Parts: sequence; structure tokens; C-alpha cells
Amino acid sequence: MDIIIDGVSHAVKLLIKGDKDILNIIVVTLQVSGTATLISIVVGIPIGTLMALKDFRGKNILSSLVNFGMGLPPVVAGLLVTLILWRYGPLGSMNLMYTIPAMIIAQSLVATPIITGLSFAAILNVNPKLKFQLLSLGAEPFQVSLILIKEAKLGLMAAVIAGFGRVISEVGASMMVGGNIRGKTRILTTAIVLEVDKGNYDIAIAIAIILLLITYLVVALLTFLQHNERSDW
Amino acid sequence: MKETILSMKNVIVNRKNMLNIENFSMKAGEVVAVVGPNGAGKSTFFQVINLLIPFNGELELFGENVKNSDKTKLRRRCSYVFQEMLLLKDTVFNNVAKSLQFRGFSKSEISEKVNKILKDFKCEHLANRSAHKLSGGEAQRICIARAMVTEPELLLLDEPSASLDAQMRSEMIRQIKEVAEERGIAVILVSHNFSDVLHFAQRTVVMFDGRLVQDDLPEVLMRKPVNEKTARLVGIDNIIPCKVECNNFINLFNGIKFSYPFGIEKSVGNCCIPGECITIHDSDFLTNEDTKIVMTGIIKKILPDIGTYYVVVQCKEQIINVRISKELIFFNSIKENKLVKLVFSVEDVHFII
Repeated sequence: MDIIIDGVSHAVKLLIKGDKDILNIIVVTLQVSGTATLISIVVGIPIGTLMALKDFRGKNILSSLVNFGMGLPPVVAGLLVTLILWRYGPLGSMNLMYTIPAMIIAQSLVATPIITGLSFAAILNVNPKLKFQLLSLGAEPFQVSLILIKEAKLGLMAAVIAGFGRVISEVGASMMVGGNIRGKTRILTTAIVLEVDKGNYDIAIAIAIILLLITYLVVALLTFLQHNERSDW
Repeated sequence: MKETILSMKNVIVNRKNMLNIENFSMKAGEVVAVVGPNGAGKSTFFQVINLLIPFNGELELFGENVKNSDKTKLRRRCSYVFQEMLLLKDTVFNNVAKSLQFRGFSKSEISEKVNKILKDFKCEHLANRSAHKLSGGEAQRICIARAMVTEPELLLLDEPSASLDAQMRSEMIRQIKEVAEERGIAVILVSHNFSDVLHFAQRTVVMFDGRLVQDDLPEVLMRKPVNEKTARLVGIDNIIPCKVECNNFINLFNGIKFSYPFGIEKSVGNCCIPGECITIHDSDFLTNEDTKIVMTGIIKKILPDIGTYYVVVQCKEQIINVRISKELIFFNSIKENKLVKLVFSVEDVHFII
């Protein structure tokens, strides 16, 4: 119990003091997870929309891959990215290993199937006849997709929240491709692992509380946007 | 002569609600009603005309073969009101404006057109309301206003008045007809309500299992349906099993026999007699007219109906339904369990297979 109380008071101190290391870790965490979520949105929502609206050859295979990817263990994603970015890997010449971009790639790999799968479900949830109605009102196919995305906003926001939640809490892939380098690639989750390894449980708890706080703030903001949209209707 | 705006030849859709249209065409400004039971393929018929689903066969819209044409461009000359009210999560104004936005109208034109149509449909007070907060009737009116705002050349109405009360429905049907006639819009209406069809259409098409089985004036359809299914669909009061015997002698299954002076096929199996073509008389009634057929029966029930009374008479094994006015009920002292004679004329009889 004392450890927990110590951890909480430590967290408050770190935040009030504005500890440079912690601030840097927070910034890197938000940078990596935020960018990975954005990339996943840009890739996942159009693919999810395409899967929901179009019938094409291999759709079932793509669906099963997306569903499989939703449960992809982050460590496996990290291993995959490591194999590709490793010095002797196909993209080894780019020297991305142990850098923030490598962590972003790994986290995107984890979040994209989640956002794709949930977007697919969200668009499917919109009345399928609405597509016909929009076409019959004279909409071009791309206008139909844009309006359906707008109609599915509530479900899509849930997809984004789920994707962000997954990557900000992820540790295996980031540790593997980022290397947990102090001041460079250390993020909140990898910092917790390190502090536990060192036996600094109070600091680990303090960082965990900060991680939870940040995650809650971001998710609360997204939820507010989601509900703000809903309350209009 | 008015130009043909829609022509379908051997149009086939192979899916759940299959469609097989051998030949169908309509001219500019024509008002056609499509009737048929649920699952007959009426909505599929509309989806093909609006180029929303793939099909085999030949379809020409506004003189253009749709296979070689820009589908969006052709769709923009039509409007389709779906059975379901599909409104966007937006204000009523923006919902109605959407189709004009798709067509690239300027903001001022959109505002002018939307306000005018909302006024025409008595919905101007709803303009700023959220579409999802409308009542069923209001939403239905907005869907129709949205379809009319683009001034289409062809309007497809799939049960447009389903969620309206009787008064509102007849008002809506009248309004659509007025606007369509005024602007020369061709309309195809799908409705289960036959009185809508009678008030609205110049021509009625009956659809069963994806096929068009009859294409006639509504009043012809009401009197001379082509088969038993159609007769039941339009609500013919009496469909009596019968057999054609030698010398055009008709044997009704309730034992009544009469000579039919007109041409008749041997294969007919049912005889249709509209309820309003049968008169009720006292049991001592006699007639010398050869063309009048007389049946004896007992009145089982007298039921009030809109503008008329429905008298159910048991003639041997057969129930005969007769429609008579309120005055006649009192004048002829019609009451339950009374022995009466029913009289109809052979000219009013229609035979179906």
C-alpha cells in the first residue's frame, strides 16, 4: 500500500516539478501514438469504407486478414518491423531502427487493422439503402462515400478511440524497434518496464498514473467530440 | 405525340427479388401505378429504372441506352422516393438542398428552390429542424419535397404515403398529382392502397413474381383482372369457382347455372362479380330478363364500409358479398337472417382462369 501512496505522491511531484525527462517521455509518447493513430485513420477508414461499400474479388480474404490483424500481438508486429528495418533487412539502408519513425511504423501496424475493422463495421451499420438514396439523389460515388463516412461518424470515432487506446498502451513493439533510448525513443510504457526492472516501483507507478491520466484526457476529448456530434441529433 | 422516356425489353435481374420484364415503356408526363403483393419485385423494378443495381437486357431512359451512358447524369433526371424515410443527420433544409448541391446549383438558387418547395408542401416551418426529430408524416413529406425540388422528368414513388394518415395521404397524393401534371413529370407509383391508385394513375401495371401480368386502365383492372391472383389483389368482392359446360352454359359451384351470350374460353375456372353489380330483392322477386341471373340466399351479416354497406349473403355453400347504399338498406328493409334474392347481369360477369 505504501508503494502505491509513494507512487501517487511521486507522480504529483513529477508533474508539478515539470521533470525534464518525464516531459520528454510524454512528448515522445504523444508524438509516436498520435502520429501512428493518424496514419491508421488515413489508411484504415478508406479501406474500411471500401470494404463496406464495394464488392470486389478477394474481399473475404481481406476481411479475414483485417480481423486477424485486430488481434495481432504487438510483439509480433515489432518483430516484423525489426526484420524489415534491421541493418540487413529490406529497408535496412534507411537506418530507421531505434528511431521514432520505426516506433510509429510498428504502432501503425498494430492500430490500422483495428481502425479498419471497426470502420468497416461502422459504415455497414449505416442503413445500406442510404447509399442507393444518395445515388438516386444524383450523388457521384465519391460523394456517397463522404456522406456515409459522415453518417457513421459516431462509430468511426469509436474506432479511433480503440486504435489510440491500443497503441498508447502498447509496449512490446515499441521496446523492440525503439530500443527504449533515454531522451530519444523512451515512451511511457517502456519507461514503466524499465523502472520495474530497476526495482523503482514508486517511479513506475508514478509513470503509470501519468500514462493513465494522458490516455484518459485524450480519450475523454475524443469521447466529448463523439457525444457532441450525437447531442446535435 | 409524347416521346417515350422509358423503355425496357427483356430486363432480367437474378437475385432474391428477381425481375423479368419482357416489355414495358412509358411516355413523358404519363402517370403509372404499379401494384403487386410484397416481394413481387416492385422495389427491384424501381432500382433497375434508377440504375442502382446490375441487370441484363435492354433499358432506354430518356432515349439513351443506359449501358453506354453516364449513369449519374441519367439518375439526375429522375427522383426516387424510397419506401423507407432515408434522411441524413442534418436539418430539413440541408436534406432537401442535398440533391441540388450534387447538381452544382449556386447557394442562392438552392435557397430559393428549397424554400419554395418547402412552402409548396407546407413544411417551411420545419426548415431548421433536425430531420431525425420529425414525425413519420413530416419526414415522408420532406422525402417527397426533396424528390420534387430537382424538377425531375421521371418520379419514382415507392409507397410514398405509407406512414401518413388517411386524410394526409389523399392530400399528398392529390398534391403530387397536381405538381406532376403542372410540370409534365412522368410518375411511377407503387402502392398497396388501391384507392390511391384509382385517384392517381392513368395506367396500372400488376406485378407478380417479378413479371408484369397486366397493364391496363385502373378501372379496367378493377373490373377485368387477368387472373385469380390479380382479382384477389385488387379486392374483387366475389370470386366464384365455375365450370363452362356445353353451349356456353356456366355452372357456378353454388348450383346456379346460366347461359353466357358472349365468347368464353373453356379453361376458365372462376367467375368475378363486383359487389356493387349485385342487387338485393325480396324473396318473391321475379324477372323476365334473360340477361339477369337470380340467386336465393340468407343475409348473414351487414357490415358498414366507407360510403356503402357490405352485405354478406349465404347462397347454398357460397358466400356472396354485396355492396349497397345506406338508403337501400332501409328502403328494402335489409336485415340479418332475411331470405333474399340476389340479381346480377351477365354483362357484369368477368371470367378468369
